[in-house]
This record gives sequence, C-alpha cells and structure tokens, in this order.
Amino acid sequence: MIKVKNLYHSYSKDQNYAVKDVSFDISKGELFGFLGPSGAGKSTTQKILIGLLNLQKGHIQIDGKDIKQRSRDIFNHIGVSFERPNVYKKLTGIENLQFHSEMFSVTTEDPMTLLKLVGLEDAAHKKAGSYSKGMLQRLVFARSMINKPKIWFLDEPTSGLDPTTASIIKGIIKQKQQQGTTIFMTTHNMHIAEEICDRVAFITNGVISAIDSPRNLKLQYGERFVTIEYKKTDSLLSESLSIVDEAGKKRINEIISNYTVETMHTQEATLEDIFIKVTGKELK
Amino acid sequence: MKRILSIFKRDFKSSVREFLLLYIIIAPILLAVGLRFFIPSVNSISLQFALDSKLDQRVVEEFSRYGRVEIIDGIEAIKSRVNKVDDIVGVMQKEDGKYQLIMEGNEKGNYSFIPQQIISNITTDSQSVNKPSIAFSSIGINMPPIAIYGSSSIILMAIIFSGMVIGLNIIEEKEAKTIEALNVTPMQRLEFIAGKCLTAFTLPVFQAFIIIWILKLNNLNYSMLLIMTIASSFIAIIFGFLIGILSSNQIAGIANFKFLLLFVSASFVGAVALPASMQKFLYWSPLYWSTIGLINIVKNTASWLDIWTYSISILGLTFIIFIMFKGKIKKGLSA
Repeated sequence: MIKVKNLYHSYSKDQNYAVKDVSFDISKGELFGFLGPSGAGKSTTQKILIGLLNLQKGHIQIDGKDIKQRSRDIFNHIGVSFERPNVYKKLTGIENLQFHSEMFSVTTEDPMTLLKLVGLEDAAHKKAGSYSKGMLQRLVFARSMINKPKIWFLDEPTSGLDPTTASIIKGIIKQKQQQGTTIFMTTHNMHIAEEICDRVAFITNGVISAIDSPRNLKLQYGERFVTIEYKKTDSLLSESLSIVDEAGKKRINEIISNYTVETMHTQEATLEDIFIKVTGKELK
Repeated sequence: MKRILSIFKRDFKSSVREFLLLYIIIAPILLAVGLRFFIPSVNSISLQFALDSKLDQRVVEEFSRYGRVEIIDGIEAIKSRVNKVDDIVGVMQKEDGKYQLIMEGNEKGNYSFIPQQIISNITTDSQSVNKPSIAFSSIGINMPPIAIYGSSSIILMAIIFSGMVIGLNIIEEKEAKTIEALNVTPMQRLEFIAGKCLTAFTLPVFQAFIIIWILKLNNLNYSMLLIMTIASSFIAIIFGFLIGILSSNQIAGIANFKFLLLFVSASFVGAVALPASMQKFLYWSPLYWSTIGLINIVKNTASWLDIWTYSISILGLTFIIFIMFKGKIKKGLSA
C-alpha cells in the first residue's frame, strides 16, 4: 500500500539530511509504527508521504501510484491526524467536522457519530477554542476519520491524553485496522507501539536502524531474565539471571537446590529496552 | 463549487464571531450612518417639491424645470412627506383656485421664495407687464462635496476592509496551521483562493449598496457602481492575501494594514486634491482609478466608457502587483 525507497530530505537543501536513505514497505491493512525520539525524522517522513513537503530524492508509491504523479483525488482516501491540534477555534467541534467533510468528494462519516466515538458529544456545540488540550487532540483524531480513509496517518495520536482516553483511541485504531485500513503511526510511545503495531521501524538521526514486528525484535535483541528472591541464612537476597545463557541457567539451578526461594518472576525486555540497545539512544 | 462556498461560509462565520473582524465589517456602515447626519439630505442642494396629484400638468412641468418633483395624493400625504428630514416644499391648490405652500418652517435660506415665484410665473398673464423676470442658473454642483467625497471614501473603505477580512482569516489559518489540514484534502489551491476571494467580492458589493441606501444616493447608476466595486475588489484581494501571508499574527497583520491605509489615503487624497496637471503622478495606483471612478459615479457624471477605462486600468495594475508577489503568495499558502 505504501512503498518508500531511498528517501532523502534536507531542509537546507544540502548534504545535511533530516531523513537519510529511508526505505520501507507497508502492506494493505497493516499497522506500521514509526518510532523515534523528537527530531529523529518521523514527522519529516510523514510530511513527505502526505505531500506537505516536496519529495526531493527517493521514490514513494501510495496505493500503487507514484506520489509525484498523484492527483489530489487520492486525498479522498487518506486521513491525517496531526499531533498539533490544528482546528478552527472559532467554530464548534461539530462545525469543524462538517466543514472538513465538505472538502471531500466521497461519502463521509456523520460528524456526531465520530464525536461520540471519541467522547466529545457533550462538547459538540461548544467552540473548539474552549476545548482542553486532550479534547482538541480527540477532535483532530475524529476529523482524520471523516472521509473513511483507506490509508490513515497518525502523528502521536495519544499524546496529551489521559490513560482512559488513550485506551479508547487505541481501541479505535485497532478496530479500523481490523476493518482493513492501512495505518502509518509515528510515535515515541513504545508501550502503544508494542501493544498495537504489526511492525515497527526505529528511526534516529534520520536513519532507520531496524524494522520488524515487536515480537521478532524482542526475540532478536532481547534477553529474558528471571528475578529470584531467596533466603540465605537469615537474609533475603535477590538476583536477576538470564534464562538464555548457560551461566544463568546453572546459577538458577544452584539457587533452587540450595536455598529457600521466596519469589521468582520472569522478566521480558521491553521495546524501549530494545530501542536503546539497537539505536544507542533513549526515547525523549 | 461546494468547497468554494464552504470556505466562504466558514470565513464569514469565523469573521462574525471575532470582535475585530465584525467591527471591520460593520465600520463602513456605521460611518455611512454618521455621515448621514452631516448630510440630512444629499438632494437638498437642489430644490424639491411635493406636488398634489390634482394639480394641472402645466404646473407640474413648470415646477419640474426648477427642481425634483414628487407627485403625492392628498394634503395628509403631502404633510407627511414635508415632515421628513430633508427640505421639500409641498404645493397644492385650494378649492377657490389659490395655491397653498406647505412647509415645516425650518427650511434653509429662502426656500419659500422660489416656489412662490414659480407659482407667480404660472398665474401671471404672460402678456402682463408685471410678470416677474426670474432666471435660474446652475453652477454645476448637484450635490454637496461632503456627500460626494464622503460616500465614495466610505465605499472605497468597505472595499479595502474586505481585503483585511481575507488577510485576518489567512492569518488565523496560518496561526492554527489549519491550512495544513486542508492541504491533505482533495481541495485545490485555486478553490481555497476562490473561497477566500468570494468574501472580497460579496462583502463590498453588499456594503456599497447599503451605504448608498443610507445616504439616499438614489440617482446614481447602480450597474456602474457594481462594476466599479467588483473591479476594485481585486485590489483588496491582492492586499488581503499579502497581509495574510506576510504577517505572522494578528498584531503584525494590523500593522501591515495601517501601512496599506497610507497607500489608500494617499491615492484618495491625491485624486481629490491634486490639480489636474499633477494627477498623472498617481496613474500607477489602481486605487487612484477606483477613487476617480467612484466619485464620478456618485456625481452621476461617469460614462460607460469611463467606467470600462477605469476598470481595465484597475485590473491591469492589480495584475502587475499580483505577478510581482505571485511567488510569495504561492509559498505562503503551501505552509
């Protein structure tokens, strides 16, 4: 559905690239996470994909069409949820969605249904200027679904949301994916990516370091540990031991045979641990 | 077309919900109302007569030679007309054949003298040696200057202010980054521009006709006014887009607008005050041609050839300004 090959972009139009030799493919109905810290090149890549930045170097195909030759009609099938709440503050929530729906030449969703979906039905007739940050974020998210998109670009969709609302948004994303929507999601929230993405790409300094499913990345780069609490004479001791390498296995057996084990927990590496291991950078 | 109308409707809705924009929209109307108090009757510089419909046609024709005539049925209707704010003398004939003048009593100058002389002219035997010899001559001014320059400047202001409405709406789109959201819809850039321009065409036309209605400028050519307002709106559109694109926020937009007002004022004052020999120094300004056109329309001295000449000059000069700033406008709208 989306094919990106050898993508480069420089804001200063020199060799100082914000995005360098980025390539990836996204299949139809796939939920693809683009993960990286701020300034890594996530938004630049997304802006090129949705046409807000010109394609300088590289090849991009969306729905089988080269983006250099695409007509604006393709936007009838694309939805974009921006990180920044770019809505008309003097219009109400429902007016914002109604206005946006009039820009499309395909059948659109009912604005009130979308507002209900994101929990904004009570604020539908209030001016967007009076909305909180989280409400604005939900309005932008709802707006991106107005044209029933086949390809959906989400930029930090849960940023600024409380855990309950973030969970609702995650549910909607997952539901849309099950309905066949192809989703490209940029985020620096590893927990969400790990939870809902089919595949993720790690990007830092404009370069992709790894692309795979969260499970494969963990299998490839992660180590599994067991944390054991045991009693030795009168004191309570704790050790974290690898269950992959031989030394760890041997030590676990030794503890179980010789001491009284109080607790034992397996511990998996998180996607964040993998990200740090692969890129050498923390997500901030 | 649906998208163009939606953009226009959104801009209008947004404008009336913002105090500053609402003020900009109604300011020319308020000024026209204010001006109306200074010119209680734009037509008062010429004589006005309210004649009873029963009067002889010869009498009506005689009065028509000296001023504007309104034919009214009955004394009560004549009294009601005379009581209105402008100066008008009611004339009727009593049963005994004598003429009766109906006046408020606060009319300016010798308002009663002239109708008396006209009646005297009618009633005196043409062969009589006592026939009064009265002749009227015109110095060519049919309207007070305050009405001519006041109304044309307010209409010009309405046109320029509509550009400001465009400018402030574009600033709002830029500040909130809503242009980005529109740029990922099938909307064409031309549709966006057309939607914004619709405000600059409809608003001043609507306001211009309200202004002339408030000022009771009933005798001018409405078609000419429509053509001149639409042609002049193109200048407002270019200015509106430039203000919107060059200003990062509302305050900067207002500052740029003030600078633009200097240019508007200079063109207007120059067109009105400079001697004919110096006017050629203003030919480069499209607003000069708008001013000349509006003044001549209000004075009722413009011919269709004049209107087309002024309009073509405005459009040509505006096109040159557009070509000069085309790149900036295009870049600004992509942001």
